[in-house]
Amino acid sequence: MNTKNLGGILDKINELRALFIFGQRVIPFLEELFYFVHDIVPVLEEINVSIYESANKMPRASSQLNKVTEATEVATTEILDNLDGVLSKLNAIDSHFQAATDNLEALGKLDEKVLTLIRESLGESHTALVDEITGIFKLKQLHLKALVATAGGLENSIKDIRAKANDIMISLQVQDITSQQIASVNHLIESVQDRLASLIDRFKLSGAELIDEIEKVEHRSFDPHATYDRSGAKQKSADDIIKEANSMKVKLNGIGEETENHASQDEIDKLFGKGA
Amino acid sequence: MKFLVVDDSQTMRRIVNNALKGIGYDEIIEAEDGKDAIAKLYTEKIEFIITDWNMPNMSGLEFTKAVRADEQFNSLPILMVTTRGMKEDVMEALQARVNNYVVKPFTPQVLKEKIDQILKTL
Repeated sequence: MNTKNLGGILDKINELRALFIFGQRVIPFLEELFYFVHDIVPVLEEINVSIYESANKMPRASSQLNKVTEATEVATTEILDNLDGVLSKLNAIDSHFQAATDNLEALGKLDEKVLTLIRESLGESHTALVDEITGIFKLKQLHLKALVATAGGLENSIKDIRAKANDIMISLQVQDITSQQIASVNHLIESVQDRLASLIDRFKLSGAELIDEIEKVEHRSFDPHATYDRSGAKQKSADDIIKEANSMKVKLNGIGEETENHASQDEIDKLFGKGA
Repeated sequence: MKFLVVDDSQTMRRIVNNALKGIGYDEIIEAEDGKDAIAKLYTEKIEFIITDWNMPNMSGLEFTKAVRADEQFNSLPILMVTTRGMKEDVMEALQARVNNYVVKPFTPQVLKEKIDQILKTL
């Protein structure tokens, strides 16, 4: 064995030493890792169960949301039925009031005729009696006028009630808007459910087969941005766009007639949201 | 004037129906979606269409495009009544050639105003 070989052996021993030193350092970490994995297994099992349960509960949540939509639609229909009933009764009351007002006015005119007849027949001979009857008729006229005024006031109240009923009808549009919002949430739930199902499938968790069996609920078409906003801001914005489009149409129709009013391609693209 | 009201929501059909009756239009046919509406277009003498956008089977936008693609309905007035109020939505509807646009929730006054505006241009 020469010096060169001994040097090689020493190098190998040094490498082994370094390996042992590294091992000494790594072993506590490996032990820690072992305990960590040991502890984490039940947690992972719990997560698996939780994922499975969540995925299973989602169709139920989705179906319950659909039931909310159905219930609100039924309730809204009932409210609309009642509103129709109220409006039809109001129309009937309105025509009764009109008839009553006409009758009161006719009564007033008849009284005037009776008074004229009494004056013509008894005027000269029974002045005191005629004056008394005139006083009574005047008082009656005042009462008739008061009744007509009351009827007019009631008619105005009916008008207000009708306006409120129409306002309720406008508010009931909230049913359509909330049902679209619910449909949007249902869509999200379905997406999460799909993700969870694929996760369960990927990790071959127990219950993966059951997830496939879960029936998917049919959802209505929806606008994810549907909001109940009665400020009229959205309508104004739509009106502005339409106004702009119409003026553009006028310009386009004018091509060849008024060269200064021509719409450029840029303007047309801007109108239809193309280009920059 | 005979109206065709297209909306998948029973509530909305009823509300539009009531609003139309309130402003003096009594002849109203209803359809649940674009497909149903197309079928009714060929069987009824429709003179004015009020359509929602978001509907199953065939959306209001697809329905509008289908109506416009048929020469006999090319100039039939179409009013879009929808919750979609984004600028891009209005643009898309205009490109599909709706005559006017109403954003829900709407008042009968707005509906009347838009119908009148359309009828004035015919």
